[in-house]
Order: sequence, then structure tokens, then C-alpha cells
Amino acid sequence: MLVLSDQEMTALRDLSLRQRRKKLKQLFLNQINKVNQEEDEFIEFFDRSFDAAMNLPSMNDKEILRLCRIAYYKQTEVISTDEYERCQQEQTWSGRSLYLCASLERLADVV
Amino acid sequence: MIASCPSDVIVPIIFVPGIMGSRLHTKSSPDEVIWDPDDIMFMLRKYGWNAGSVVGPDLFRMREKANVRQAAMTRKELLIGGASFNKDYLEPITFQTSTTQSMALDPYWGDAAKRNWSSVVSSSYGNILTYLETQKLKISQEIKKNNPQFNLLEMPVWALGYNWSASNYDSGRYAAEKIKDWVGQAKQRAAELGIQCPGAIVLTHSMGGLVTRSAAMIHGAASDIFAVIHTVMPTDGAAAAYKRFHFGFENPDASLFSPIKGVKDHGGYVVLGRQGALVTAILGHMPGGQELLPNKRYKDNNGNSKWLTIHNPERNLIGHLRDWVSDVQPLELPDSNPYTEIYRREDRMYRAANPEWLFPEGMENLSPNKPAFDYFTESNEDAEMFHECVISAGDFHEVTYLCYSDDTAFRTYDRIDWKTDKPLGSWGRRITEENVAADRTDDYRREHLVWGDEEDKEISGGLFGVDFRIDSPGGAGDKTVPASAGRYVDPNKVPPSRRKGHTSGYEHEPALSDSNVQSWVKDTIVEVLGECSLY
Repeated sequence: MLVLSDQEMTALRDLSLRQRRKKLKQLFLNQINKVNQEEDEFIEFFDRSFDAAMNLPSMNDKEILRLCRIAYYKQTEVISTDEYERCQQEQTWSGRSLYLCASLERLADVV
Repeated sequence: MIASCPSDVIVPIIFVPGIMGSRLHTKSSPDEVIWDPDDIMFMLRKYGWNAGSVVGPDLFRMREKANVRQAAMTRKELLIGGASFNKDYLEPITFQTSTTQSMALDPYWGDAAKRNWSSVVSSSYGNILTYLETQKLKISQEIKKNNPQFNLLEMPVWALGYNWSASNYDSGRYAAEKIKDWVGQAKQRAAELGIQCPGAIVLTHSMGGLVTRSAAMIHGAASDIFAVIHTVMPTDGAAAAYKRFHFGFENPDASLFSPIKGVKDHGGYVVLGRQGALVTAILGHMPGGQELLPNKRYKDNNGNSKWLTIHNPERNLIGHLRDWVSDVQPLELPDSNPYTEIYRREDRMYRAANPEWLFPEGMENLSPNKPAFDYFTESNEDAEMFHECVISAGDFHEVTYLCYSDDTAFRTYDRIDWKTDKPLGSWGRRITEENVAADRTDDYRREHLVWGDEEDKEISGGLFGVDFRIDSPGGAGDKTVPASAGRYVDPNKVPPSRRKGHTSGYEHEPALSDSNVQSWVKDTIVEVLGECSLY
């Protein structure tokens, strides 16, 4: 049986988080059509948004990306959006993904 | 890579039927069944026999008039139970074992009777209930494609019949109690198993959509519901409901290629009521039925809020000539409020309820100080208030999906055009605008049951031609609910991606037996649960 120390577990989690951040960053830049532009601004925006989103419980990839795009379309920080506030208020909430999906659709229509 | 274990989930499905889709008995004596379309002989005996039809010659239509009045009286006694509406008179037939139902059986949730399937009409809804009951495994597999962690462990299907004669406000309160109870049971079961229950998915048909919106938005069941899936809901009413007050239900198109369906459809048509007098005696007192009339937000399929027109209201030759030679605008209504401008205009022939038809039994036992039309006005005010109330409470559940038929082959009244066809004007009758206000009770003509069609229904008086008739339906829809009633939804409330207009359409009543609708319902459940956030 393989037993990992706390330190090793933390290192594994960090690695997983880094890989997830990298993967989602690429997807986000693709979605907002900034993939070929080496603009630090968007990368930094994503990093801040990702960190904020990870403060919410059990966020899946789709939810993180939706929240980032909502903030991007609104030209504001994730933590300043009504959507983030609602998610924070509700915490564990089965309808979160559907809510973010509907919010994003409304915004995408306007944009 | 860190993998996550699958999460087991319980999702109750609750089905809410449309108007006339729940079996009813009287509250005071449960053995006294009042409405049970699953029992064909019962329906023919109680309603088919009392349809106001006349066999053989009927000079001056004297026998028909007497027959219709007698039929309206008998039907009103059955469905209203007295002179005026009493919301405690009827209730759904609940938790009963029935041989006509599919024997759904779940080791924990029990059989169909335990899940209240007896409360809804099996011949209309047995198909969709059984379909959902048997789709759990398939749904579970398809969800995993989008949400691999999601494991649909149990999906009990409930039926929520209600007293459809009552206001959707009251039915909503009843539905909210049931939804909370059944979701409570599912959440308790989930807690015992240490798994998740996100709330119920509520599937509705037609008026069941209004009941569910009432339950969710007014009566506090929103948090027990994960998503609502509406099918053919008359969101803002249906113009056909108005037409029925004047000319009864729609004559089904007979087809030589499907004679059995033709006989069945005609049987249903006779049972529902061919004449305005039969419909008004019942719906004129039922707030639930009146809530299906177009509301203040209603628009026809072309987006016109003035959905009722009266061409040449004077019905005279000059008026006809004016219509022919110039672009004289017809009288168009409503400006803003159909309740006060149309339905409750007692002094106009285009009102919704003819006061002569509200009390076929007579008003001898009622207060002499209260005119017949006041009874209609009261329930119509309740209908107006209901729509105000549900709209101001938020209108739709946050996660709402809806589908409707958007097929021009299923010609639907999306608007009402009163037309005249008097070649000599109103020669032989008074020619004044006052005629629009005149009582026309004796001038209503219905079609021949076998050879006639919807276009033969008219108001005829004088020597030649037709005084008024409602132009044939021409809008896309399902023959009852026009596409506009499904389509006209604020995108801030229901995003476009959650609305589906089927251009390969279907009829209203059997919509949930249509394979397109069943597939859409299943795919929507998959989509919704595929997006369920897990913890």
C-alpha cells in the first residue's frame, strides 16, 4: 500500500491546481478570442478570476469558465459581479451551473 | 491526477396535467365521480348524452334551444354543483389503484397508486408517465456523458392531479403542498443514504404550467424545485378560450383516412361542448378556465397586442362599401386591458360571457339584487388578479424550459376577427352601431355535427347572410395554444436556448404522446441534470 505524507499530498494538490489553471486559461483565452494575443492583461485577469472562483465550494471547470466570462463581458472583477455574490450567498447549490449558464447567455446576447 | 468518486443523486419527477386532465370527485362524497375521461361510458352517459344535440327535424330550432338549456343545466349541476362556483366542491381522485394504469413498481417508492397516478387521466397521460418511469437508466447514462460524476440512483415519477375548476392560485397552493411533501420524502431518503437530492423536476402540460408557476412563485415551492419543464403552456392565455365562450370547442377536422380517430375526436368534441351556451354555463363560473383567456400581455403570432377586431361593426351596406373602397380600420381591441375592454363589456356582443347562458337553471333562488353578469365579473376579476399576481411574484421559476408547437399545419386561433357577410347589409334589421350592443342570444347557429365544420358557426339574423362570425383560425400552434403564447417570453426570464418551438408540430391535448415532445422532455432532463452542481 502506498502511503503519502501530508507534504506529498499538498504537492499533488498544487500540481493538479496548476494543471487545471493552465488548461482553463487556454480555454478562456480561446473563448474570448485572445488566444494569439500575448497580452498579459487577459492572463492576469484570468488568474485573478480563477483564484476568486476557487473560493466557492466544489466549482467545476464549466462553472469557473462561465464565471470568468461573465466578469469579462461585464468588464469587471469576478468578485464584483452579482453572479459571484449569489454563488457566495448560496454556497452549496445544485442550480449554480444552470444559473451561470443562463446569466452568460443573456450577456452574450447583449454583447 | 486526482479523480473524484461518482455522486449518487435522487431526482423526483412530478407531472402536473392540463385543464380537464385530472379525474375529479365531489369532496363531500368521494364515491360521486364527476370527471373521469378514462371511463368512456361514464363520460358518454354524463356529458355525451347531455350535449344539446337534436336528432331529426327541428323547425325554428325550438327543440335544440330547449335541449341546449337542459344540457347546460345538467352539466353545470355536475361541474359547478350549484348556482355559483364553490372551490371546495370538487377534488382530485388521489392515491387510488386503477386497472387502466401502467403497473409502475419501484422497490422503495412503490407502485403507481402510491405515486398518485390515479389523479390524472390515464388515457391522456399514462403514456408519458410510463415513458419517464422506464427512461431512468437511459437518462442516467446520457447524463454521464456531460457530467461523469453524476449517478442518477433513483427517479420516482409522481402525478399531481388537482381541482382544475378552481383558480390556478388555489390549485397552486395545493400543488405547492404536494411538491413540498414529495420532495421532502426524497430529501429524507437522500439524507438516509448520504446522497444528494437537488429538488424535483416538474413537468407540466398546458394549464398545469400556470398551476406550477403559482406553486413555485406565489406559494413558496420554488426552492423545492430544481427545474420546470413546460409543454404547450398558454403562458399569456389562448384566443381559442375566448372563442369557446361564443361557439364552444373546436370542431375536429374529419379525415377519410383515419375514420376511427375521426369518431373518437368527434366523441370528445361532443363531450366537451359544441355550443357557447354549454361552455359559458361552466367556464363562466370557473376562475381556472377564465385564466386561460388572453391576458394583458397577450400578443398574436405577428406580435400584435390588439388581437381582436370587429370588421364593419354596423354591418350595413355602407359599411361594407367603406371596407371595400377604402382602408377603413376595423374596431381593434384591446388598447391595454382585455378584461375591462372585452370580457366584461356586458353591453357589447363581443363580451366573453353571455349573461343569458350563465344560469340555465334560472336565478329564482338567487338574490334579485345581483345580476347574472356580476357573477362572471367576480370570477373574471379573480382571473385578472391571478396573472398580475404570478407576474409580480417573478413569473417563472429560475430554471424554466418550455416547448410548444409552431406548425402552421395545426391552424390555431392566435387572434379573433369578427367578420360579417351580409350581401344586403343589415336589410331587414335595425342598422345602427347599437346592434353591436344588442342581445344576440337567439341568433347563434352551430354547425351540422357530421357534415359541418368550424366555419359554419355564426350569429345570423335578418333576411340574408351572416351577421357575425369568427374568421377561421390561421396561426401556427397546436390548434389550441398559438405559437405566440409559447414564444412570447421575456428573455430575461427564460433564455432563448431554453425555449423550443417544434415546427413539426402536434395537437394540444395529446402533445405529450408525441414522440418529438417525449424526446425533447427526455433530452431536457438530461441537459438539466447534466448541469447539476454536485457537492
